Amino acid sequence: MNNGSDPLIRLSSVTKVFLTDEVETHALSGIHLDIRPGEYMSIAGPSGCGKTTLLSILGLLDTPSDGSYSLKGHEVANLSFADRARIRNREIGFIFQSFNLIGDLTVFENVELPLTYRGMAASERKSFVTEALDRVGMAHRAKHLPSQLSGGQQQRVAVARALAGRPAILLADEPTGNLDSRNGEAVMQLLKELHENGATICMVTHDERFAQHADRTVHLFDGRVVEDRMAA
Amino acid sequence: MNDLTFALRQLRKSPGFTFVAVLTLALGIGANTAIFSIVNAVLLRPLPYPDADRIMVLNESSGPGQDYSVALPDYFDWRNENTVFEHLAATHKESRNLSGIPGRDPERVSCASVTRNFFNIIGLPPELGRTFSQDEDKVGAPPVAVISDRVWRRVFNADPGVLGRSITLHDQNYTVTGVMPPQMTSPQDTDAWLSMMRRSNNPAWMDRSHHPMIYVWGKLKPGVTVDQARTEMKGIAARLEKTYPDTNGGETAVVTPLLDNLVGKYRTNLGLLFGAVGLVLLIACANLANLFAARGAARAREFAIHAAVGATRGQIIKKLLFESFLIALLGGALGFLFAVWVRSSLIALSPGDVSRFQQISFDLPVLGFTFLIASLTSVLFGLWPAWQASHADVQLALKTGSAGSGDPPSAKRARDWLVISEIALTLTLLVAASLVLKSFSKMQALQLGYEPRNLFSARVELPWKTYSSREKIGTFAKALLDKVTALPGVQSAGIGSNSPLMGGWQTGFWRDGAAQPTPAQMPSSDLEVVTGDYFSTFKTPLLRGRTFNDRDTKDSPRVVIVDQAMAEQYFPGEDPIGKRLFVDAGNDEEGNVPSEIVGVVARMRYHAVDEMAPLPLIYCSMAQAQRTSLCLFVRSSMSAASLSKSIRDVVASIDPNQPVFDARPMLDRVQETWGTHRLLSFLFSIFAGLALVLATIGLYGLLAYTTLKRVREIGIRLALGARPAQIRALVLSHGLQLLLIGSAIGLVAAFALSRALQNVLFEVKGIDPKIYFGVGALLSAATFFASWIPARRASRVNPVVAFRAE
Ligand SMILES: Nc1ncnc2c1ncn2[C@@H]1O[C@H](COP(=O)(O)OP(=O)(O)O)[C@@H](O)[C@H]1O
Ligand SMILES: [Mg+2]
Repeated sequence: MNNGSDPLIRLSSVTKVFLTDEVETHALSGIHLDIRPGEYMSIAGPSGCGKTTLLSILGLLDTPSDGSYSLKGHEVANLSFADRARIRNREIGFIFQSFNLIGDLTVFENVELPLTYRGMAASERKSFVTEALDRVGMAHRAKHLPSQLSGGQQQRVAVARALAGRPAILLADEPTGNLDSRNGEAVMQLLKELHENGATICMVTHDERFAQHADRTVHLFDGRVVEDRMAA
Repeated sequence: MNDLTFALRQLRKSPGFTFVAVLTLALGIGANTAIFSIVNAVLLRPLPYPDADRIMVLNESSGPGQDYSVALPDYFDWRNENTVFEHLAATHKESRNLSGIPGRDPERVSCASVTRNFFNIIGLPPELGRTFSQDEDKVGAPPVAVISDRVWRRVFNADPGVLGRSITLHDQNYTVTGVMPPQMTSPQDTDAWLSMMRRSNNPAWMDRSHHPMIYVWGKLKPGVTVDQARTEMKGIAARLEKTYPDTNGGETAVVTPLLDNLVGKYRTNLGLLFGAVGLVLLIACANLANLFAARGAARAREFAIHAAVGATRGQIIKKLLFESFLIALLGGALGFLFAVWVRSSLIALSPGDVSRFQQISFDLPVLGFTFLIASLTSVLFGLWPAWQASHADVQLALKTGSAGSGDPPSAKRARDWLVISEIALTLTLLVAASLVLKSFSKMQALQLGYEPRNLFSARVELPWKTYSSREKIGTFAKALLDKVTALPGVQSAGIGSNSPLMGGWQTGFWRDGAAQPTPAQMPSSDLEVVTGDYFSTFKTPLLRGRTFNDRDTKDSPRVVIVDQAMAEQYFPGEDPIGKRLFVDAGNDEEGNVPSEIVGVVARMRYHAVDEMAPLPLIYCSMAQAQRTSLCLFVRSSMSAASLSKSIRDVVASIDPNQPVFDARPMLDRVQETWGTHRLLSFLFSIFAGLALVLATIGLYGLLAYTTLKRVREIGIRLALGARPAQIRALVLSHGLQLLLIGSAIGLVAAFALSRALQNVLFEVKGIDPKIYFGVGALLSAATFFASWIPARRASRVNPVVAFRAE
C-alpha cells in the first residue's frame, strides 16, 4: 500500500560494518527502507541478522557506515552526537526488551526523564506525564519504584516513557521478550491501540503471532532485506 | 588452599589494584611512622639515666610565666628542710675557654659548676677516674674538673693518661679527676663539670635577692610522687617567704620532671602533628575501603560461588581480611622505609635547641608502632568491604551473564559517606595548615625593632681572671671594634652583652624620688650592656637624647639609655631625658646606683615570641658595667664565611688565647626562634597536601566506579535524548553534592580545631574569611578536577548499550 505521502523515514543503501579484532562483520548491507507516517511495521529475522543494529540506526543511537538516512526530509546520518541526542529526544520513543527503567527513579520520574532533557517546564511536564501514564493505565502507580512493579507493568511504564514526549515514531526491540505470554499479549494490545490512534511504530519481534499485529513485515537475513510484505 | 596463598594469588592477579592500595597506605603509614619517630625520640624515650623519672629540676617563680633561677641561700634551706629528695644539687652553667693543650687552639667549652651530689642524681659512674670528693667541693679546695667523653675523645684522643692532668679553663688550672660516659650530657650539653662549693663564698651568690642562673636538680626518694614533692617544696618556700619577706615575698618553688623540663613545651605541638597525620591515615583508609568495596562488588560472582559450595559468611570475611592485612603489611613496610628515608629532612627541620630531636631513630618501638597501625588500618578499611562481599547473592552463581542491577542503596550511601568524610577531614586539615602558615608568616613579618639582614654576630667569652677590670675589658673591646670597623666592607660594629635572642639578664630598678621597693615588689627590666656603634649597627633609631660616648667612663656619673616601652610605661606624658633610675648594673658589691637617662631608643625585641612576657629594657654602657661575655655585631654585606674568618683573625691578633664561637648571621638566630613554627608549618602543609591528593583520588575513584556501574543507565538516558552536557552535569552534580555535605561537616570540625590551635598560633585569632574562601576554592577546584574525567567518560557512553549488555 503506497498512498503517495512523503516517507517519515528513508534509508538508502545503508550499510553497517563492525570491526572487531580485525574481523569485519557486515551487520547491515545495502538496506533501502521507507517508513510512512502512521505505519505499523515489524522487523523479523533470525538471531544475528542485524535487527537491533537496524533499530539503533533508525533511533539515531548509531550511525551507518555508509548510505543515507533522512528523517522528515532531513539528512541525519552524519549529525553530531549532541544534535542526534536532540532529535532522539523529540522524534523517537524507545521501548526495550528489558524495559530499561532507571531503578533509582519513581515511575513518574522515569516517564518525565525525556521531557526533562528537553528543558520543558515542570507544570507542562506534569501534564504530559500524567497523560502518558493514563494512556497505558499506570497513573495510579506514579509514585512507585520500578522494582515494586511486575514485568508487564514495568513495560507499560516504559511505553508511557516512550510516548510522553509525543515522538514521531516508536521503536520497540522485542518488547515482549522478557514477558510471559499473557503480559506480552497485553503490551501488544497496547501498541495496537496506539497505532489505531495514529502512532508510527517500528517493532522487532521474533514471534510470528505478534508480527501479525503489524501492517507490514520486513524480513532480514544476513544484513539484507529479503522480504517486505504488506498485511492483507 | 590456605588463606595466605589465596590472598597472595589474588593480589598478584590484580597488580594495578595492589600497587595503588599499597602506595596509598605507604603514604599514610609512612607519615604516621615519621611523626611517631619524633614523638618517640622527643617525648617517650626515657632519658639515659637510671631512674630518670625521679630526676626533677627546681626553680623559683613568682607566678606562671615568671620563672627564674634559684638564690643560693634558698637552695641551702631547701636542701636542709626537704624530706622528699634523696639528693638536691645546685648547678650553674657557664661557658669557658679551654686552653693550654699543646697543639690545640683555645676553644670554648660548655661547663657546669655543680655540687658533688649532682653525680648521685644522674646515677652514672664515671667511665674513667672519679667525681669530686667531699673535700674538693668546698671553699678553698683545689680546682678539679670531670670531663665529658666527648671532650676526652676530641681533645685528648681518649688517652687514659688524662687523669691527673692539668687543663686551663678561663686562665685557671684544673686537675682532671674523671671522665663521664657518653650518655651523660646534663645539664644541657655540658663538657666539663667543676666543683660549685669552691665558689660558694662569692658574695653575689650568697645574696638571697640574687637569682644568679643557679638551677637546682633533685632525685626523688623512691615512692615519692611529683605532687608530694611539689606540696612540700611549696610549703618550704612559704616558710622562707615568712622568714625573709623582703627577698622572698611572692616567691614559690617549682618542681618539674627533667623530661618535661627538656621537652615539655613540644608536647602540644607534637600532639597536634600526631593528630593531623592521624587524619591523613583516616583519609587513606576511606580510600582503601572504597577501593576494596568496588573490587568486592566486581568479584561478587566469585564470592557467590564460594557461598554456593558452602563457605560461611565468616569464612569469606576472613579470606578478605587476610588480603587487607597483607596489603596493610606491604604498605606498612614501604611506609617504614619511607619514614627512614625522610629522617634526615625531619632532623634538619627540627628546632635546633633540643638534642633529642637529633636522636630520631627507627628502633623497636617505632617498628612496633608501624606494625600496630598497619594491623589496625587493615581492619579499619577491610572490614566493611569484606562484610559487604560476604552478603553477595548466592543466586549470582547460578545466573549467567547478568551483572545485577547495581549495588544495594546502603552500599552506595556508605561509599558516598566515606568520600564525604574524606572531604570533611581534608577541609579541616587545609584550614589548620593555612592558620599555621599564616601564623608563621606573621612571625616572619614581625617587627623586630632592628634589621637582622646583613648583620653578623660572633661571641667571645673573656676569662674574668685575666680581664678583671672594666678598663681591661674596655681596651679589648675598643681594639676589637676599631680593627673590625677597619675591615673592608664593614659599615659599623658594636658590642653587646646578652643581646637579642640570646637569653639575658633581668634587673630590678626604681625611679629616683620613689621609696626603694622591696626586692619582691621591685619592677623588672631586661638589662643590656653595650659599647661601640651598637644602635646604628642594629639600625635601631634613637628617639630622643644621645647614645653613649667616650665621656661616659667608669668614674663619670652613671648614665643609662631606656627603650620606648620603659618611657611609655614609667614616664607617661613626661620626657624621661634627665630623669634618674636606680639601676643595678651587675657590678660586684655595688647594688642599685642612681643613673641618669640620657637617651630613648625604639623598642628592640629581645626575646623570642614564645619565650617570655616582654619587659622594658635598660641599656648601660660597657664602660660603666663590667661584662666578660661579649657579642660582637657587625653590619656588613660580606659573606658569613669571610666575616667569620676576619673576626677570628682580629681577635687572635688582640689576644691569641680567646676563641671566637657561635659566629653566624643574625638572621640565623632570628630564624632559629621560628623553629617550632617552621616544623609545624612545613608538616601541616605536607599533611594537608597529602590529604587533598588522597581525597581527590578518593572522589575520582568513587565517581569513576559509579560511572562504570551506571553505564547502562547512562545509555538509557542518552537513548531518551539526554545531551552529553546533561550527562556530565549528572556526574558533576554528584561530586558537588559530596563536596557540599563534606564541607559543611568539615567547617564545624575546622572551627573546633582552630580553637585548639589557638595556643600555638602567633597573632592569628578567630575566623579568617580569607582562609575559608581560599580553602573552599581549592577544594572546589579539586572536586571539579576529580569529577571531570568520569563526567566526560560518562557523556561518551555509547547509547547502543541500552539495547545490549544484557
Ligand atoms: N558493537 C558491535 N560490535 C561488533 N559486532 C556487532 C556489534 N553489534 C552487533 N554486532 C554484530 O552484528 C551482527 C548483527 O547483530 P544484531 O543487530 O544484534 O542482530 P539481531 O538483533 O538481529 O540478533 C551480529 O553478527 C553481531 O555479532
Ligand atoms: Mg537483537
